[in-house]
Amino acid sequence: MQLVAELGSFDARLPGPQAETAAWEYRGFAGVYAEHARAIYYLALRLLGDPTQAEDATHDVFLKAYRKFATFRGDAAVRTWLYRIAINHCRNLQQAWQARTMRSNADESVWEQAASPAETPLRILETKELGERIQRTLEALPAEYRLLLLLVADEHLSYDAVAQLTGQSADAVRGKLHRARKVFAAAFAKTA
Amino acid sequence: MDPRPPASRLTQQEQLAEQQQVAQTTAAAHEVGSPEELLRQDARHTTVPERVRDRLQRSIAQEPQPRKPWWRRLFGP
Repeated sequence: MQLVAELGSFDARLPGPQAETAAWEYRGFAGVYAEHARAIYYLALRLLGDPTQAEDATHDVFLKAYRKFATFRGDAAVRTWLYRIAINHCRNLQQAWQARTMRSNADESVWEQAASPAETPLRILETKELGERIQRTLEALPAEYRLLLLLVADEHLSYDAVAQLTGQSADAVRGKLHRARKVFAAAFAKTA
Repeated sequence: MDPRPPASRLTQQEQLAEQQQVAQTTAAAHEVGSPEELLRQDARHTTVPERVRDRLQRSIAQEPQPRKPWWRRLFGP
């Protein structure tokens, strides 16, 4: 991926939809979104446990990334950089919710929308059930294990990148991961 | 003579429950494979609603246009 910004400019005077497209394509940001949106949405979905909140978070994370894209120096991979923004964003949201001691119950229909639209009803049901079990399992884990497992599950991230994102050594990640897997398996069994 | 007291009915039930729990945990571990695999499978079946892209596209269009670098401002487009 071309990380160094193409230092051109889009023409904001174009009529509405054209200006939107021009801004969107500017510096290849459309490609960044296409490549990483699913990973960021999934992380937000499983950290926040609410599809609507995950949509908002995904929008906000990419908007923040767009604003900072010109200053992104490529010290880390784009994916790692986006994850960092997403983790901070979700943490802030969770802290704000905890402060208000509020928790919204996701509408059942929204969970169904999270499944791939091309799937059969049976498959959607299975996916929905699996998704709900995974969500309940993750919510039963300590926050640190939850984040660790979600990050390690992304094959694009190295242990070093996970260590960077969670502020610990790669060895510590491996040690905690071992325990996190056990806790996850036990918690998952209880959701059956 | 066996010094151990005979196992009570309750102890047998406890043992049975424990065996069942172990069997369930083993089955669950087998079912899960690894948590990462399960999460990957879940992620693969999760799609980002199109409306997020549309909304982001509109938001980005409203952002102020980034400044041109100084040499462009000085020497033209």
